[in-house]
Amino acid sequence: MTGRGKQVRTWLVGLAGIFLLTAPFLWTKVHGDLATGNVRLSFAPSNALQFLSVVAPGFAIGAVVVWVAGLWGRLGPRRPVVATTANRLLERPWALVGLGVALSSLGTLMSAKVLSLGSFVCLYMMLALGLNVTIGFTGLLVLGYAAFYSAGAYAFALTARFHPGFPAWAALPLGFCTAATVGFLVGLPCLRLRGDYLAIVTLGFAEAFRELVRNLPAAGGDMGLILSDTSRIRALGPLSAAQAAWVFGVWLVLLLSISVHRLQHSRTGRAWIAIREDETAAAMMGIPVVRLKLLAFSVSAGVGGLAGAYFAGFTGFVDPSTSTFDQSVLVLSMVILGGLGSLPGVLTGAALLYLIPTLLRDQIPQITDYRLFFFGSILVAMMLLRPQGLLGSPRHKMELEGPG
Amino acid sequence: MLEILVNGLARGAIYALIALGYTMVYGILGMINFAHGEIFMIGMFGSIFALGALGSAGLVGAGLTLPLAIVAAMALSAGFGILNERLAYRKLRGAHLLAPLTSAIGMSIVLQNFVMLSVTKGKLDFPRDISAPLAETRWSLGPLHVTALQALIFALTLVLMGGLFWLIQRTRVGIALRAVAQDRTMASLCGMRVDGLIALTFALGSALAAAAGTMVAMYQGVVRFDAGYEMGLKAFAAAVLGGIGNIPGAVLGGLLIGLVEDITSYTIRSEWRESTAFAILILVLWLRPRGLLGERVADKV
Repeated sequence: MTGRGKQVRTWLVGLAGIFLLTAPFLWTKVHGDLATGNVRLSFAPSNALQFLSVVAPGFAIGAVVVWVAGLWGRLGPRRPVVATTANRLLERPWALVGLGVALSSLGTLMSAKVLSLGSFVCLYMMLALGLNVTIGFTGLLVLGYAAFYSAGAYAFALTARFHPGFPAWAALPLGFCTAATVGFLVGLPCLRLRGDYLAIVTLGFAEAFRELVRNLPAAGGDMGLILSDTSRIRALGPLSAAQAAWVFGVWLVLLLSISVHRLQHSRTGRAWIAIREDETAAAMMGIPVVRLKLLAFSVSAGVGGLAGAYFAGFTGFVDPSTSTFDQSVLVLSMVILGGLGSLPGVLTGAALLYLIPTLLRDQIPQITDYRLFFFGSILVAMMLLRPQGLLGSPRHKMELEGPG
Repeated sequence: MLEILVNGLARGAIYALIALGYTMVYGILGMINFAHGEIFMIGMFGSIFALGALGSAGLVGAGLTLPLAIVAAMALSAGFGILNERLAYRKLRGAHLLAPLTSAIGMSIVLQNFVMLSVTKGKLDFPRDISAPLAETRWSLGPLHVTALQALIFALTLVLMGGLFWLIQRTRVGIALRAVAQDRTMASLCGMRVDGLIALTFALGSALAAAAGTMVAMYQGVVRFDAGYEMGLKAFAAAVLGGIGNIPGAVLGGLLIGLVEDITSYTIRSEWRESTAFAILILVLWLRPRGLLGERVADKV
């Protein structure tokens, strides 16, 4: 059989298999008869049609995006335009200050709704930048990132509860330090081992952390905590509270971007990348692998905590839902979609994955339910089709795909 | 006290069945199968679909209903296991560890949400006319009380594990599986179909998880789309406790976790049952990462 014929056959067998396997879930409905406890299975095509009517267009759009990105890579300019532009920008502080001033002053023109959207985009950009330090630079998968975000937010809210008037700006270092310490302690038992353990331990830790804050009376249980007005981000001079939050967010993202960029190109950052590429070789070269992995994980957790403190500062409340698996998956998908290890990539990923579902929510109400399904699909599809992400570098592509 | 032991061992037998799936995949690929918990959950649903289909065909009541449902659930899960291997692992086998981990986590999210979206966000009841007689029949041997369901769990676990050991230790396929686990390149040079054998490993582990899923569905009476997460974490803890990659270790780890869980919830507080396995996992990783029976987990160069 020719190569092409074989390929077609594989595809046909695969599709038939998927159809058969999903058939009981999609095309049938179970009726429970509670009186006798008996069950019946009946044919229910409406179920499948409803599911496919949302999933098929979503997959089609995704396929087009990946195809266009591939086309751009093949036909576009040879130089990675986005990465070089971002690098230039990050190496010229005055350009960044200019960008910050421009974005901040744009805040005066934006409506309250846009300001809140913008602040959330800044929040997710911070989270994506933080997660990128472990997963992008050091190559360690973290599945419970939301726990550190939540830890930062709770650190702020609890301090503000017992010391009324604790200001929002002081919460940022507090959130960073708390979450970094928590991250250090979580990373300690598993970072000596291979990467998979960190993934599953952080996954379990996020759940345990959520249970902890739910059952802690001081943390307000399921209701969470509401911050007093004096602790929130307040109106500042001519700026309203919402505008102040946006300005605060913009400068934080810029500051974090420049710090992460400088960190990446420092001695430490290069050591992280060496660990990602080959841990054994890195250890042979005298890099203290465990210490640096712990450092990367703590920094990453700390940035998550800082973002959490910012979140608590501008929304004014914290609840256990900040530490759900959904949140962790959202941030992970942002990093994977945008491009592992690439700053413009993760920032774009964060903006896209926050804005698309939020803006579509009014038009397509089902999107809330289907969100996670699509995020999971993004993780699988990106790893198979475009492991370097939308804006990632060829270096990452080669590395992730491996020699064989 | 004996009651706690029996309950704990029954739970432990279920963890052991699921842990076998983790440990087999780890043994052959050196990777954790993150979607294994969801495969277990699919097995739970599979048994209900099978019972429903049998009910529609008017076959309920015959003594063969439950065995047929278990076999159907195992087949469905095995299919999903192969699909998981095909989509999330096969192309990424030579890649950086991060790539298969990410795709497997994605696969687990996709499966869980697929079931939530296509079946129900709430719970689905396991048919009571099948599970109730089993759960209510009690046999007493002096101070020892065992329900028929627990006896069924023990029997099924023993049969399946015996079958697995026989397959791995005594058959040609088993020899091939062990060869692939030892050295994939060499095995393929000797003419073994490595791709097929790896898919078989996923299918076997998934089928065991589905059998466990059916038992849990009967034990709890309801199934939910998010049941796989917690079970997966506990079974993973069991696999690590016994020494991941080691098959007898997974059985030992599962039974121990089940026992410790029931003892903790009896002696300390029942709310702590859910976090026991996680605490054990952390302790094992901290103190003895290779587990009770495992070999060392250093990286090969």
